[in-house]
Amino acid sequence: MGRTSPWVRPLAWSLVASAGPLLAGDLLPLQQYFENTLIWKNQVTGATGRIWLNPDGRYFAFYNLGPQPKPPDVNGPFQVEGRLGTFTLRAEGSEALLCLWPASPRPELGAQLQHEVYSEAMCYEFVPHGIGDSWSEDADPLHRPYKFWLVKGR
Amino acid sequence: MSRVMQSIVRRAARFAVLLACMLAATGVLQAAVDDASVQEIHIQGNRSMGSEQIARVMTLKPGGQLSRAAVVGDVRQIEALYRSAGKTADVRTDLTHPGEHDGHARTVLTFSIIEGARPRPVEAPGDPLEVYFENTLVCAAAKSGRDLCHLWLNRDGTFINFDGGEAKTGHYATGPMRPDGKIPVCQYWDTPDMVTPAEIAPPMRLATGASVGILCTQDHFRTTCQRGVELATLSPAQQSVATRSMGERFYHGMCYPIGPHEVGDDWFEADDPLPGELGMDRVLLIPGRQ
Repeated sequence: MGRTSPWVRPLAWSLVASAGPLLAGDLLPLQQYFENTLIWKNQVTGATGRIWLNPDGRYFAFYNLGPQPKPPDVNGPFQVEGRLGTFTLRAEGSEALLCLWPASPRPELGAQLQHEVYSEAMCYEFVPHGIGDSWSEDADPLHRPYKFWLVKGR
Repeated sequence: MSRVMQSIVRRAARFAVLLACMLAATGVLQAAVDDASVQEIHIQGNRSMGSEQIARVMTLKPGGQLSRAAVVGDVRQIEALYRSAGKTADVRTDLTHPGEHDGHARTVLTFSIIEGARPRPVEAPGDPLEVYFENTLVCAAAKSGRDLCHLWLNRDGTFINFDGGEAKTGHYATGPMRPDGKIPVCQYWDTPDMVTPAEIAPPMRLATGASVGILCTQDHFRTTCQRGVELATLSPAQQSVATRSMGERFYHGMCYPIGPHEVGDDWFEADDPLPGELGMDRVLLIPGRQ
């Protein structure tokens, strides 16, 4: 996966907005991800996170942004955050896009404000990996380097 | 019987056998908490009314019997006292057990009175956990205030709990409402395994060769934990329990009292099995799933 192209984000909104149910064929590249955990670390911010993708099209993402400048009240800022929603895997030319649509109501997360990977309603370039793999790539809209692990189990 | 219930029953049966072995072993195990009576009653808050004046309208007395009905009755009496004085007050109740972790639990009931606040219903209709099903319960450190874990409780008996290191699914079992209106919620993770790569995992397990452990036992929807237990004083079965990782403890079940609250509430809970800083946990109920 390379850098996210500038056209991806605006296009992402229309793709996500029109997302329909997953077809069986769409799921094949994601088989290794179901029941397992994709984990990452943003090498610039130090934030870590993980995402669970379910065969029914739902996802759950969790973020650890590290210590915040002040203790939270009910409006934050939180060190730990989570997000759930639905996803689709879309083919775009020779590339695949993992498109995330957070569920409503959709609280604004610190992870989203920092543009951490998989925190926003958008499409992310996606290259399938196998369990046990670890790799590096520039994964978020700001093209910051991340390290990823696809680990067995949840 | 559902898969969730079968799993709970199976683990409860295993635990009952283990508990019997432990009771027969060393005298480390704590005396059980007994909420049939109350040893101490505290009245606190920003009130102008004297404690003696409030105590006069209450039926609960130190050393007397304790029940949910008696607590509800006394809250209503206190509210009526304030109304008769032309004032409003919100009265909350909190049951704590100081000394529990040292084997000498006392049952302490605290009435917290906030004058001028809108009284919340002491017996709200419906499921007291309902407000937690679409929102997020945040546990935080009592002193620094930092959030440590977020809990998404689901209506179907499952939950997701996540912290800075791990995210876990699980199922829960609820016990009968306590005299202070809280519901004991016993959480069982679906797996004890941690999946975070060592490169970014926070230290969670006891160091190899540690001489002390954390001994947690569960009885009637209540978990009691004792920190710093000398492993050398324990039976092999107890040592196995005392050296569990956090994941293993939650896999076998940890019970937490969860009270009636509203979204936006921010409070302290001192009746947790493994309270953090200052012997308590800060808790927030925040809107939505986040």
